[in-house]
Amino acid sequence: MVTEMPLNVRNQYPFQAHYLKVNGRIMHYLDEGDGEPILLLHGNPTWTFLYRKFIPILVEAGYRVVSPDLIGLGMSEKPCNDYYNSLLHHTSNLDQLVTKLGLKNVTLVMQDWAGPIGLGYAIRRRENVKAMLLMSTWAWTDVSPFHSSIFPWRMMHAPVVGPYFLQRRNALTERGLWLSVVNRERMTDEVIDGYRFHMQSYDERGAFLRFPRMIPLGEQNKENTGYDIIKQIEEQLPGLDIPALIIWGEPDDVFPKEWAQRFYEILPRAEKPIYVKAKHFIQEDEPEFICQELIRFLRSL
Amino acid sequence: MRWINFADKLPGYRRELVLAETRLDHYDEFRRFFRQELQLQPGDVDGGNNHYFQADSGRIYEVVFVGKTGRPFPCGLEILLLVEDIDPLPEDDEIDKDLWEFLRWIIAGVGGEWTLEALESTGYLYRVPFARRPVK
Repeated sequence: MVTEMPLNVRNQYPFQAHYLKVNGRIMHYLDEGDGEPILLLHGNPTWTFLYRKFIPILVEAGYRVVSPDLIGLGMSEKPCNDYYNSLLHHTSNLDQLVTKLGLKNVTLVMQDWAGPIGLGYAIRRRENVKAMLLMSTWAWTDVSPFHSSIFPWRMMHAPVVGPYFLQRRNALTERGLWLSVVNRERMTDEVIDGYRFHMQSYDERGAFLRFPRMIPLGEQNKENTGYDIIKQIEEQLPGLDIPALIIWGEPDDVFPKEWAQRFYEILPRAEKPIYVKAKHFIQEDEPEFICQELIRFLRSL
Repeated sequence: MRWINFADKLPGYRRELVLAETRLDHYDEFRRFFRQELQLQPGDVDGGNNHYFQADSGRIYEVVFVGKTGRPFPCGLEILLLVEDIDPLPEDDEIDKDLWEFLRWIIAGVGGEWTLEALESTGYLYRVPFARRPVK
């Protein structure tokens, strides 16, 4: 559905839209500033709007900021089938974006699903990655307490129940975002409007359902999740000798803070994790601090 | 809600898709539940029975089961609201209330770790207006 961006969303998101075709699908991305490229990568149920506060800070600091909407989300194409939404699809799409834009020596900023996608890219294109920032994400097949519980997570994406909550009721946008920030007074109707805008109809919201179903639940139900692909990433993390900054929310009830330490212990060139008062959507809680830490980190390399 | 039978194909109604599930086997106990409860057979994709339920509101929905080669049957389902002639589709909340009854029927039937309490609590947390407040 094509609609004009409402003024209250446009005021928060004053960026030029760009489009290119990746693997036959139309991807929307932002491309602001000049300098070394930083790729801001989002997960589910967000889009590049999640990084609206990062972009001016990083551009002002002299970086080129590129941020794509995953196929199925935001202003990118939203296919109405199950065959575009695997970890391999999204990693290949990212690779296509980087190749087509000729980006070299990129810094990957990753949260939620962007972790497995970006790390999958970094493992395959090690020579093209300068640094990484990891926030509230994962890259292993064992499961967090949140994702293993029936209430609310597994119930919310169970067969038939899932399309009801995530497509008909738009539960993650209407309520999940608010539940997963510390600074709830910042999640005004105006901000939620930004997340609603591009996912207005039932058919547009298919990715909201498909992403949760890809999350591995350990050995359970492995044939129906992204288990095998994430297992491959997990096995290669110890050899990923790319400078890594880790910033995590406390309390993060989606990916526990212990997982920040776990990344630190696995990745050979990671700095000690930095903890901030935030939940899963850490970009909403602490955008300024994260950007300043990222700038400091990149300048130290 | 209750399952109902029709002898004919209900001429004069149009079918409006209100929910589609493409991975009924994501948790296979759900697929097995439908298969057993409604006595579905793989051959049903080639001219099997229609399945209708009526919500407490009186609205009637058809549930169409979907089969695909290489996947256990049924691999998906579509829920179609029957709307008379050119009448407008009801408001979303009215349909959602009917579908909530259907979800309760499913969860009660699947059972095990899938409890009505978990469904209601999830609904309450995510502000489904028909969900009951969990008992503390």
